[in-house]
Amino acid sequence: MTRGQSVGAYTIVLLISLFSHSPAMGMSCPTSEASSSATAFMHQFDSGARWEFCWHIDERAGLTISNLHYGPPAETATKLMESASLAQILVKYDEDTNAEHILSGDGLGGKNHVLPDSNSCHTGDTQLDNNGSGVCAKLRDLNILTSVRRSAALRRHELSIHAFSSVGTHIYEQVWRFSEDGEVTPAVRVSGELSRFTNKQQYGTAVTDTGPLAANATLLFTWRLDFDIGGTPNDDIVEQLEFVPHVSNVVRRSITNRTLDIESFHKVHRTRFRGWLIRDTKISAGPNGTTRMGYYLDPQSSGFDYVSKRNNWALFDLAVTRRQACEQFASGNSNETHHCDDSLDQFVNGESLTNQNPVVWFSIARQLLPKSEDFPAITTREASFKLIPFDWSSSTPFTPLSQ
Amino acid sequence: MNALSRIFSHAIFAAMCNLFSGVAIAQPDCPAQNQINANFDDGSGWSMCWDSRKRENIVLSNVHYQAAGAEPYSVFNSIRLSQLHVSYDDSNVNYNDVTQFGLGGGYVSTLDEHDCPDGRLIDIAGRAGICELISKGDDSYTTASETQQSQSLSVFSVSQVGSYSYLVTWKFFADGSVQPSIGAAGALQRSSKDPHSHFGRELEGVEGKAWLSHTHNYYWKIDFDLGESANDDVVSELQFTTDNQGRRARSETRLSAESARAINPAKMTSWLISDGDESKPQVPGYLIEPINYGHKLVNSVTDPHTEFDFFVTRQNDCERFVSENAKYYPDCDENILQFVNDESLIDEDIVVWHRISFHHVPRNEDRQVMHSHWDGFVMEARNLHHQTPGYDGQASPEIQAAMAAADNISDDTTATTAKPSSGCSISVNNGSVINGTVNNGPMSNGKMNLDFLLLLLAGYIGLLKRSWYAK
Repeated sequence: MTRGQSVGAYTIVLLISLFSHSPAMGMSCPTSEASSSATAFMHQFDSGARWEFCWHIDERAGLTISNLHYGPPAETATKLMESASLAQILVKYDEDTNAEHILSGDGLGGKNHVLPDSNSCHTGDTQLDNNGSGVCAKLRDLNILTSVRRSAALRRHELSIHAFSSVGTHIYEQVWRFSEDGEVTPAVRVSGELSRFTNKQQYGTAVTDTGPLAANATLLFTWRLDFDIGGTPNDDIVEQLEFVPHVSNVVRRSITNRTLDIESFHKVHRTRFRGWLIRDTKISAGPNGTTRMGYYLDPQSSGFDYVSKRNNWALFDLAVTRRQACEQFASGNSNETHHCDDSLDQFVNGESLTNQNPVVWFSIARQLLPKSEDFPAITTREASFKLIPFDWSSSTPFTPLSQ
Repeated sequence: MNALSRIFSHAIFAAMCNLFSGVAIAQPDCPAQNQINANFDDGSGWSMCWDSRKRENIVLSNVHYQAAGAEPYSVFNSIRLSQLHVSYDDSNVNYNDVTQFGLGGGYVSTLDEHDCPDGRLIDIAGRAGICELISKGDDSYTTASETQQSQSLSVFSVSQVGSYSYLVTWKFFADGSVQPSIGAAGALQRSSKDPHSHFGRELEGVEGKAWLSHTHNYYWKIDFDLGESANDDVVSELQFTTDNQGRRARSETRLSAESARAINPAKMTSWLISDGDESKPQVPGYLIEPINYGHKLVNSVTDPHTEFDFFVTRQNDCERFVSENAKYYPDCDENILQFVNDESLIDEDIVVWHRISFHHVPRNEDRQVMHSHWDGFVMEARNLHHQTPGYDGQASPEIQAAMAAADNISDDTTATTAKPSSGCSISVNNGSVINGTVNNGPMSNGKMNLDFLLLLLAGYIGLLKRSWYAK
């Protein structure tokens, strides 16, 4: 099946607005267990590339993107995900034995949601929904998109959606970046004020001349990504790609791709260049069907491992599960939905993913080593990773600039 | 003197201090045409000299950071890309692009105003080859009451090597941090005639061939010269070990001899380059956290140095390239592992070398024109300021309570400690600590001082030319 056929079932009436981005008229933001009142959003770049999605602020997960579509220039927009959001943030101070579970504890929505204003959204547009929640939409010219024939260059533009939450003394900025050439970068930015201090040298770092040490901490950010490529969720698969050195000749590396056909946990394997390709098994961007449309989860920013003595699931970089609507949070899940399992450790129970709708859970570990620049306000730290369109088009959809 | 007179006298005094207290960015020690000077809105800035070499292309030297209101602070003697390996999955061939081809000379792409919007194009041998521009980035901090947007200086050049375009970029932030990065763009270089090759992928629209997967292995050479002396920099390795209860303890080991180090992701290995005694709290320095390390090229048989991620050596002018060095310096060693020969680093000028690997799996979107893939790392400025730069607020009651709750805190340490300030101290709001000029900030023991109130009021009535944070 080609893309044109696949999107026939999903007709979008686009209203090209005079504004740089606008609610997507005709874009459906259906009521679901995840989004009772989502707001439609669409942005089209000058090249014709566009993003369409719905957003809402979940009581626990905060900013939640749903019904996400990407359309390269001169191509129809194709559905990428049913929903995507943070699924947990662990904050563990070094001298503690337990981590704080931010989403299932305080949550990023509700009273902790902070409306963007002219201060926090000074370079963007504030978008409000009917519930009084809001996000900040920004458009940036990042840098060169791609160099073409030695001279002229296309520039990479990026739409980003930001939501803010205040939890204790910390500010959690949830960001979804959508580049003109199809990349998706989920990110969390942490700022606010330091909240823990210690006098134990091995657990803290000096931030003032003579005061107590600011506590060191590790953080784990976990996202839940419900892929639905082409709008047919049960024919999506998750492949684990590796490039294994030959035993007889370590320089040569063969590509191996293994379909993850049962619920499972996985770790980054750095020397094998392990990565994960989420693709449709039927839809192709080209007429010959040589490839299938997908997105590559590039773990390039997974330089650190999270170490936990309490949460087995937190030891892994990626988990894949069969979609269950009630499985929303990597831990503390039963706090929200009493008839569901409590954590990823229970979600991952060997169920088959064949002809099922897979959900990908991906985690990034970071540490906070305070410095004097973090007192009294924390210099913003960020965790992010990239989802890269992989055979989403049959060739680059961007026309080189004329010389 | 009545209150209004006092306000005006403070404002005039402050304005004069701005004019005469070294706020202007220092000029680097090189010909004017080779200078790069950047001034940010918050009063901070960078200065450096540029050069274009036939092999590395951009080499930046004499690099100084200047916090708002502070004296220039030496950061690097020189920084450059030292090698760029391209290792294809199908063969033993490992290209050394810097030493085999070079990124400079005729390989430099000519830039135009589209590549450098609102920036300055710098000529290399008569044509525009480097772009220097200041841009606004993401917020540097956000609190409940204010947000500060960061600015940065970018210096970049594009080199065309074979089908690839390398966008070699250096980014210098207003808080003193530095980010080297490379965008890999252009077009795919090599393919196999076997469409079913295990070393590549068959793509749409190109029947009968597979485009080969490959790794770009980038190495940077960073010659730190922190502060006034080049020979007192200290390199330490940070590791964190978790005990059975889950507590994580920090250990810091000085690398006192030349070393080759590999990352331990579970211990969150990082490296700290400090200006002087690392045992003192709040020593200015730079932290390298290897977070962009999801992929790592290791080829122990032909390139043993690929087992390591970070090297520290004594500065030696003839140790220039990570590999194929002897090709240009016959009397010197061949590669980085040979440079690391256990020489002492105590009281020596140190150089660090760091690498990032990017494994490129071809996709349809890479043809005919490849979208850039960016890789790099951040050298995070630490303790170059006495407090959050640009932040005028005071520690909140929550912070003060948290500090008080820490064990064994003496009563006089719950807020930024007061220190004597010198006469022209309008820069106190930025709290810079560089060159030992510790500024108090507007707070003293948690109470706003009268001078600061007066200056703030003067600012509001338009007598000060600068604001300290974005509104």
